[in-house]
Amino acid sequence: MTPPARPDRDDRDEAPDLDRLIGDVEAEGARHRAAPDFPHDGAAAVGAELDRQAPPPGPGAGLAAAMDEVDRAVTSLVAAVTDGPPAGAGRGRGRAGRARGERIEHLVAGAALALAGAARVMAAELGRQEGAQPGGPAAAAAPAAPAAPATVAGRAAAAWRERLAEHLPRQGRVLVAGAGQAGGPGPTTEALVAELRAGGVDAYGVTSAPPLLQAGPDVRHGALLEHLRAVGRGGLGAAVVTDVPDALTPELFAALVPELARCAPVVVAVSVAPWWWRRTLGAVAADTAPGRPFEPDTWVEALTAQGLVATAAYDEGGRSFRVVASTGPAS
Amino acid sequence: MRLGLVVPRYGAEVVGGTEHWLRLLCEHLVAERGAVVEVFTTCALSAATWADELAPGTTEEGGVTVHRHRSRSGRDPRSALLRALVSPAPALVPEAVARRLVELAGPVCPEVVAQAEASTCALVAVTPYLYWPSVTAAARLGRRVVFHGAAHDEPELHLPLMPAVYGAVGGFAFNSFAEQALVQRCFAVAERPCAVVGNAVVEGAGDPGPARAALGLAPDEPFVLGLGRVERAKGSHALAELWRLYRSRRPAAPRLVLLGPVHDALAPNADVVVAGRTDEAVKWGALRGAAAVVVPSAWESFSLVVLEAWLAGAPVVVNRRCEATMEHCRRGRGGLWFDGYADFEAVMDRLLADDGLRRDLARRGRAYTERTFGWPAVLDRYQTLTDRILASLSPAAAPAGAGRAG
Repeated sequence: MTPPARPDRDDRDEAPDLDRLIGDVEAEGARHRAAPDFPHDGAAAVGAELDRQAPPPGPGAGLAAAMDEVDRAVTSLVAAVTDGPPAGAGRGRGRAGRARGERIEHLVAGAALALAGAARVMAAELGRQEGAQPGGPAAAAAPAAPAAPATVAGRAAAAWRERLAEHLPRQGRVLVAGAGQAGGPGPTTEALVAELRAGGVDAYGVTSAPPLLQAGPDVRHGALLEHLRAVGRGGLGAAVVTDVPDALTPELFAALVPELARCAPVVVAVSVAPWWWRRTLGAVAADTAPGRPFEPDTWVEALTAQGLVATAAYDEGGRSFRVVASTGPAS
Repeated sequence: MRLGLVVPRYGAEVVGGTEHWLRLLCEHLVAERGAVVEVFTTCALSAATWADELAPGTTEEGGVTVHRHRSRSGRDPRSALLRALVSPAPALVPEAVARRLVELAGPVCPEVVAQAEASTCALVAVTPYLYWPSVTAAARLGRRVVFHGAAHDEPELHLPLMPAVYGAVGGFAFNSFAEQALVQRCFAVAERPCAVVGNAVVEGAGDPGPARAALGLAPDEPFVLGLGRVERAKGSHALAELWRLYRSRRPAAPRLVLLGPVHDALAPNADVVVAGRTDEAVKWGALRGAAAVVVPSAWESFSLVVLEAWLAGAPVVVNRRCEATMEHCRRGRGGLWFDGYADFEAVMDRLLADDGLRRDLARRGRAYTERTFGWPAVLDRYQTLTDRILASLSPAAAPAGAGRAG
């Protein structure tokens, strides 16, 4: 399969020798470093200055990292208190004494912040555990149910595009993902986004095509799963995945469905031409084993497991299918 | 459309990437797209103090209406101390401490935010993400905000109040794909309207001869250029160290010239010329005369310098730790990068020995800059973004194309 040509792609087509040049230069740098006269001390000093400019990120949200930070801060504080002159010693007064006092104040504040940070990590972890219980805070935060989508059955293969907007709520952004990838027969993401926007739907797209700096439909470059993980719970009005059903691995499918359900109260999955994919990808890829999303029932089952109400329909010729799922009852 | 802008300082005298860029954007939206733009800002010129230096009141500057207010407080020196305290684990500090840091960093000026909120501007651009006016305006103006965060991966971005700031606004104008990726990694806002708008870059006038004379160089003396604020956080001190070491091993190498206002003292020496701030003609002459331009900063959200260097015909060398400048080099194929002294030495050896390579890199970079960052392309991208934000405010009432920024 050859992806469709993109006349508007940027200049990555030309001058492909930059990578080779960089590779050559890095190899040359490694040779310099290994040479006996390489100034390791000087290079280390420069490295320290570069590190100082952009220090490595601090501890993440993990409790162990937060407690390490507490240990460091408290150790520094104790050292500052115990390394100086004893209380009441004459040498501890005056300018040096004031500087030492300020340093200790600084370290006290640092240790207090580190402790506060560790407490926040522990509180967050407790909150997560409580939220995981049935009826816990996470359940209360579920998005409000929109109007139930209508099931559209008995129409020709192209009809789903014409009537797609019927399934979509008027509130919230609508994500269109995956359309037209890998040379498939469906519309491109750009075309579908433009079509929906022209119809008054606040749609945007995600595609794995190269990033382009151009005005036009709101379509971003990137992986769908990664994008969904950067969307808040209920952050979307709906998610429409087209052609994606044909190209998923079982692992990706298993990861994708919960993210779709988390982000969007309405999920529409459309396979424009599963027959085309079966013919193109061959028998192995076209199998209908559990987790292989060539069949609409697989989508219905997976979305239902996420608490959505899902329905599926083939067009009247049995060539394309769509699955519509929402937090409300299906009609 | 009537567009507002909340920015901590504004004016032709302001030296600063995002403030400079937003001023140009506003002026071009007025002149070329018929927009009406109001700016809500303080009387400050210097980000180091936020001291009131300009007169308060309303003026007309470049077709833009500018409202200036005196600040209640500027940058408190204690903000540096608190920043150092929170930097090891910024995400874990109590929110009240984070708010205290923002207050101390200033400028605290409630009138700026109140006036923007009360204005009739349909959308209000807000920049940059980390100062008091932006943090406050995001909460008060909410989805009316076009957020020009100019974010890079520094401690402030991870403060616990930032998810609410980023989560409040209507959409994002990013300077680079790297900034977009960073923001969407840090905050659950990927569904919001956004666009990589970048900055527009226009070539300026200036000849190498007079520039060399102004910089105290010999008439035909070759040199390598570092352009921008001389500041430790911008990598100037690291670059000076790199160059001192390089010249100790390559005595025939040209001198390094650091051109830009000096914020952190850096003593000149036999290897490094610290030229200070000069006028635009000298800057462009220096760019045209430089054998290469080194951009050592690890924290940039766009970097005009890289693109200006390419327009002037100079190849660039950037810090591998900076995603934004790396993005320009990868996309424009007009620059090389380093991650430490050994790489730096190999890159400079190669560049300084090969005129053809330098020309080829600069030519590719220029083509990328002209194609991607000319004013028409940038204004089109910006208008498309404002359309999307307006549409998302009221999808049914504002289909695509309604209420453009022009």
